[in-house]
Amino acid sequence: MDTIFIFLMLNKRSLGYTPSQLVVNPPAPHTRMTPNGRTWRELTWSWAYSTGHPASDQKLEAAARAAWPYAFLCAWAHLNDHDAAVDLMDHAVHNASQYLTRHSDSSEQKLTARIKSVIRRRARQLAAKRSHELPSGSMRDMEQLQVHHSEEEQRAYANQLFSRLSPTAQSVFEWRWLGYSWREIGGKLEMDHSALRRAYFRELEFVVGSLSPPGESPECG
Amino acid sequence: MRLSWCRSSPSEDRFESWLSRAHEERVLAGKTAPVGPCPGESFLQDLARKAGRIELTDPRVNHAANCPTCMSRLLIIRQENRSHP
Repeated sequence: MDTIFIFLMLNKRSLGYTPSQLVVNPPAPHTRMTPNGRTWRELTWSWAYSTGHPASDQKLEAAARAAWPYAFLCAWAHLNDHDAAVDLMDHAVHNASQYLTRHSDSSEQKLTARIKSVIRRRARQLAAKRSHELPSGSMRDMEQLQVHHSEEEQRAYANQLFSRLSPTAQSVFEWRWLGYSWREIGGKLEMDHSALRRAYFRELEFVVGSLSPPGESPECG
Repeated sequence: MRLSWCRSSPSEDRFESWLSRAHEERVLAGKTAPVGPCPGESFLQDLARKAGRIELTDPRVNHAANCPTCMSRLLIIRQENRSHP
């Protein structure tokens, strides 16, 4: 299949992209795909623009793949929004591609570190801008769950809760169950451990607040 | 209201303990669907003592936390580690 080289004015969502050379294999779409994997570990999308140099593109793509789970995690922890991972990656890959143009001898590891750094900075900026800190901290709903219900009801609540947790929160829960401290988890994931814990309990509180009383059908969605 | 989350609160600890018990109960009752094959004994040993080489995103970690066989083994290893540190 022939490869088509086209130039595209990439300026989606006012991210301020400069014109980039786009390499498209028809009939593939001309824009990136959105992620649709079941878990945050899967990367099912790619970037539709390049540096114009195949060798650099390969490095950039490998680095971006390596950094994708990190974007997903930052979007969850800082922005309470998994979908924001795509925009974080978009921003970071754009930044890295410009960097690569200036420093074409950069290693894949260095690029990955740069992408992660840009993702982290961007997520924090956006979080501050949106004042996305949710009013949380009350554990009342969670405490009541344990105190005011029979064991059978608690089991039913727990099953609902586990089924509604996002894959990221499920993973964090498993690591906590395995005995890892927040600091250890944060260190392993290169994340601020306070942001991780905040995001985790924020999601737990949200899910607990949405649980149906035992015996009733759970809400859809 | 914005609270400081500098360290875990007793409420958080209690809730996590409750959640852990509920998780163990449902896994040991076979109500979960672990993905992939069971990891070897050495991996479970490393996992139980949180060895530095364990990658949290390793699929075997997810399996071990959701498989009744692996969880039983992990609980025993933990108990042994506590008895003979």
